[in-house]
Parts: sequence; C-alpha cells; structure tokens
Amino acid sequence: MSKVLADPPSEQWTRVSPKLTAVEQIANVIGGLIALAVVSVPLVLHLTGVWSGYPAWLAWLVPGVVLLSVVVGMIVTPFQVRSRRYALRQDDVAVARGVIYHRTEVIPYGRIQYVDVVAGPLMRAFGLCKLQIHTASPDAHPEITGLLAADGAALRDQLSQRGEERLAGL
Amino acid sequence: MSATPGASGPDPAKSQASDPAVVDDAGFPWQRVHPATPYLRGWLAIVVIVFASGRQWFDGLFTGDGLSDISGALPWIVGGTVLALIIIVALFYVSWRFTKYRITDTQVQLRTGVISRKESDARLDRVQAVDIGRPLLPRLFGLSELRFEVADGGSSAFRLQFLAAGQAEVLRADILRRAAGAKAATEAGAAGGTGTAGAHQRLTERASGWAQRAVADLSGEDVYGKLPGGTADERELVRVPPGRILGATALRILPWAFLMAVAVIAVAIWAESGVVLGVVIPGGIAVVGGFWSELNAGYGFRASWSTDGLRLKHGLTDTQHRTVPPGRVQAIMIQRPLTWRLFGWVRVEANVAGYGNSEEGKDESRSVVLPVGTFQEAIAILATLLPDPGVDDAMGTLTRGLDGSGGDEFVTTPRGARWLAPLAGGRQGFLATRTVLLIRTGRLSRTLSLVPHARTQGVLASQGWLARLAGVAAVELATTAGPVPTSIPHVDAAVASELVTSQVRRTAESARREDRNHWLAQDGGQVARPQEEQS
Repeated sequence: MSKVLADPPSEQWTRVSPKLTAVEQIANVIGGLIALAVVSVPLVLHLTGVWSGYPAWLAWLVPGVVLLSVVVGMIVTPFQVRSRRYALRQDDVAVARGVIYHRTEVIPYGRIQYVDVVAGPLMRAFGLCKLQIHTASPDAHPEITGLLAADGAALRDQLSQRGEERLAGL
Repeated sequence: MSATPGASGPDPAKSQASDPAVVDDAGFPWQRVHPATPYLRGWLAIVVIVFASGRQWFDGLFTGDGLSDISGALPWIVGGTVLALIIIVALFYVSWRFTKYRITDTQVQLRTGVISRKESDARLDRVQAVDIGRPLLPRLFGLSELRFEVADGGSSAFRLQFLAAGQAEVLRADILRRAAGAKAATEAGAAGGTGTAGAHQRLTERASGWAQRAVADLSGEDVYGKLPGGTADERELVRVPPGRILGATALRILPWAFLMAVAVIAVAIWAESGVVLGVVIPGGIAVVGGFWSELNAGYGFRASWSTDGLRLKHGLTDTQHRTVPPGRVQAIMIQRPLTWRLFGWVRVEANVAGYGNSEEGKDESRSVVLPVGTFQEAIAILATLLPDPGVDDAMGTLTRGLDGSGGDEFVTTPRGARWLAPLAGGRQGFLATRTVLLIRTGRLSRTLSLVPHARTQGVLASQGWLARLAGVAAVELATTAGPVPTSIPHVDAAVASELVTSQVRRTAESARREDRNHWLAQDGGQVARPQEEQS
C-alpha cells in the first residue's frame, strides 16, 4: 500500500505555467533581502563597535538563518511550482500542490459561489494571474497560481458556467 | 407606531411600466423603529457628557477656594451642557427619522443613515436563522432587536433595532413564514399587538402594564411569547435547570481555575508579593469572566420544536430568542468534556450559516444548541436538526460515535500510525452513512461531529512529511464557519484518497436531491432545477 496521498483520479492534470518559477524566485529574493537587511542591523552595529555588548554568536546567527532559508527557498521553488496542478473533473474541480507538504482540494461545481482572477504587478509583468475559487466555507478557497492570463480568464468562465448550471442551495 | 405614507415608495405611475418586482414593493409600506432606539444605542454619549461636565463642577466645588471662580463659570458650564444635550437629542431624532424598514414578498429592506446612506436588503429565501435579542437596557423598556443571518456570500448579520417586543415576535414569525415559501402574508393591522393597542390607553394604565410585564420578564417568565402563532404550536424538548448550568459551567472552568491556582502558587514561591498580585488579578478576572459569560449565555435554556424550526430561549441579563430553521444547520457537534463524564452531560453546538461571520463576541454562545444536557436530550435536539442520520440503528451508532473507543464500524487510524496520536489513535476516525459523515475525535474530551453530505462545501486532504512516513493523511470537510471540528486526522493514505473521491460524489448527489431553500413549499426550492448533464 502506497504511503503517499494519491490524487483524485482524472484523465488530465494540467500544470501551471513554468514562468511562475521566475515570479516566485524574484519575490523570494526581494523578501529575503528585506528581511536580511532588518536582521543584519545588530550585526553591523556589533562589527562597527557601536554595540559591542551584543553577543557575537547571536549577531551572526540570525542573519545566517535568514540567508539559509532564502537559499533553501530558491532551491525548492522550481519543484514546488512544478507540483502545482489542477483538473476539471466531471462534477468537481480538483487543485493540488506541494512537494514536502501535499495538499489537495476538491470543490463540486455547484458549490462555487464566485471566481476571482487577480494579478499583482510582478505577475502581470510575466503575463500570469491567480485564480481564486470562493465557496461558502472559509476553509475551502483553492487558488490556482501561475496561469497565463488568457488561460485564467477562460478557466474562470468555464468554472462560472459549470457552477451556475449546477447551482445548489446552501 | 404609525407607518409612513407611501411617499418613500416608487412612483405608482412609473411602476406600471417597470418590472413586476417593483410593482410588488409599492404595496408594502415603510415602517419606523421605536423612537427610543437612538437613546438606547447612544446612552453612553449622554452619560459621558453629563459626567464630564458634572465632574468639572464637582471638582471646582471640592477645591474650595475655586468656588468663586466656579460660580462665575457656572452659567457657562450649565449652558454648555444643556446645549450639548440639545444637539445630541436633535441628532438622535434625525437619525431615527431617517431609519426605516419594511418586509416585501421577497426581501427585508432597511434604510439608515442621514449623510452616508446605507441600504441593506436581505433576501427572505436565503434566511438562515432569525434571532430575537433583548439586551438588558432595552428589555427594561419592553423592546427587543431582531437579528437574522442571510447566506449572501458572507455578509454580516442583519439587525433591526429596536422594536416593541410583541411586534418583534410577530415580525419574526412573519419572516420565517415567508422564508419558508408560504405565500400567506400577515395583515399589517394584526401586527402590533401590545404596541399599537397601548397607544390609546391612559398613561397610568400603560405604566402599570409596563411595570407588570417588566417584572414578569425579569423573573424569567416568557411574557412576549404568548402571541398568535407564538408558543401555541410549540413542543418543548429540553429545559436546562439553573442548578445544572451552574454546576456544569463550574466544572468546565475547573481545569482553568486549577491551572491558575498552580501558577499563583508557583509565582508566590519564587517571586515577590507584588508580582503575585500582578498574576492573580488578571488571571482571576479571566477565570471569573469566563465563568460569568458562559453562565449568562446558558441560563434558563429552553429548546422547543415548532414548524418554524428549533426555537431556543436562553440568557440571564441579555435574553436571546433564536429560531434555527430546519435545513440551515451545516454541521453539528456533540461533545463530552472530561469533567462532565461523571454526570453524563454533553454539549451540542452547530455550524449555522452566517453565525460564524458575526462581528460580536457573542458568536460562540450563538452556535450553542444545547449548553449542557443528558445524552437523551441531545438526541432529541439532534433529531430535529438532522431528521435522517442515514443508518438503521441511529441510537447505537451515535452512542458508539460519542463514547466508543474503537473496534466498531468506524474507520479509525491504522495500527501502524497510532504512535502519532497515542491517546486517541484507536478512537479517532469516521463513518459515512447515507446522509451524513460522522467524525469521531478525542479521548479525554470526546467529540462526535456530524456533517450532512448535502452541506459539504468541499473536501481537503493534506499530508506532511511526518504523516507520509506513517502512511496517513488528514482529511477535512469544508463547511461554513463555526465551532464544529470537521477534520479527520491520521487517515490511512489510500483510504484518504478514496474518501475524498467518494465524499465529493456523495455531496453532489445529495445536493441534487435535497436542494430546498423553502422547506414548506410543495414545489421545491426557488432556484430552478438544473438540467442533468447529458455528457
């Protein structure tokens, strides 16, 4: 018996665009640089002698940890992006992602309240977007990040149409 | 309370040319809330002004030699206070005049606001629950507020403050009737009851009547429930005696009180006396506050069944009269906390669509369907909210669901993975019946959750690296927000994959079967039945 959580069966699982890797890496680096700058302040103060009372090991440790997490993030990101996938099945839509932490969300079409397509500036620069599916539950809100803008709009229309066809009462 | 003439409705000449919905609305007059409403909402402002100015005056009085200064400034202080009060009263009056509501065939509409107008419309067929609340101060004046939850994509509760208590009851019955899909409309004249009749009585009669009602209400009697269609068609299910709620709340607080005591003793041994106070006082306030709020919410709890749905009455200082229409409950939980096992008490809470979104802190008490009761009482209430549990031996299954420890029909954590949850491993699991999914968790405090298939919004499965080592995954059913836990931990990975697929299929099937927004209407819900897909 396999120990891995298997995907719900579907003829075709569609991957998101590989351009998402670039977007995530850039966001990772920018965030990492900001965090690094903030936590390096004690280190700089310590090295220049302004705050020599600060324990040296701590001054080096915290920026080191931040740097390490940025590097690890950069290594893992391509695998994570490749693991993002979705499938339009007969009665529901399934969204899955994750390399170390698998996560699968399945929403019946009739439960979809509305669908949003959003894109921040970084995503727009690469021509990508993010699709958000909203239900009546705050726990079930699958997001498909990294769709090409045209694909995203088409998917939104498709989901909305199937959702309306099978609209069920709450 | 007089209804305003149709000056605010749509122009009759225009409405003939527009669509039928507008013509219908023209027949429903706008109504005003009780004139005392702004005062009951804004009494704090008046108190603050009087207090602030009075304090200045008193301060001046007590400093002695400032008396002569004060007497010169006295007219200014008094005049300023009076002016401020006049302005406030005028503002209150204006805000009251600009507040109006009405009920049409399909909606409840509320219009408030002078400068920034707010129009709230709530669709009757999406009504999830209707509550009547009577906070302490309005209650003394015989007023109550109407609060109902509408499933409209997460909007917060719709509140109508304040109405004469009798009128609020009639309005609630009316809303529930229309929400149920029956076409009957109440006559505007029959509504009013104690309200309009009183307008013609002499002042002394009204005062004594008011005093009698206030005394009866405060002593726990249900004065305002005795109305046409009020309690006549009710069947009482559960009544929680005050002793039980007191004891049960004390037992629930007991672990926290114990921890507090341990912390105080530890601090007292190792720290100075000042620190002890700093720990005791906030901790004591927290424990006593928790005890009081639970007691306040659950005191005098009575549940009864009517065609409107499950009617709940509870509360000590703020009484709540709630109605949960059938079919609105999204998930139910029966819980047996450790300290209650001796007495065999259980607690029943439910996810009602809309309750989780509310902004007040009273959220948690509003999800409580039975604060404390015996297992039999819990079953009685469960039977009204969930008529068909989907198994033949319902009592046996539910008993095993709440108290069982494994080796029965529930699918539990596989042996090889029980080390992840040493206490509850043998017990935690699920059971899928025809109509609901039962989820069993907890060992010390035992919990049984019931999620109807038709109410499942989606299914989530997740597996971290540790779970993958053990070959298990977590499966969660998504429902509307609320206290019921709907997550099944440590399910065997293959079983989890299969559960996701089968649960989604069951959800789609029962949603097609059971779609009923109007539970009294013969022809099913208002939403047009979709054609089955041919492909």
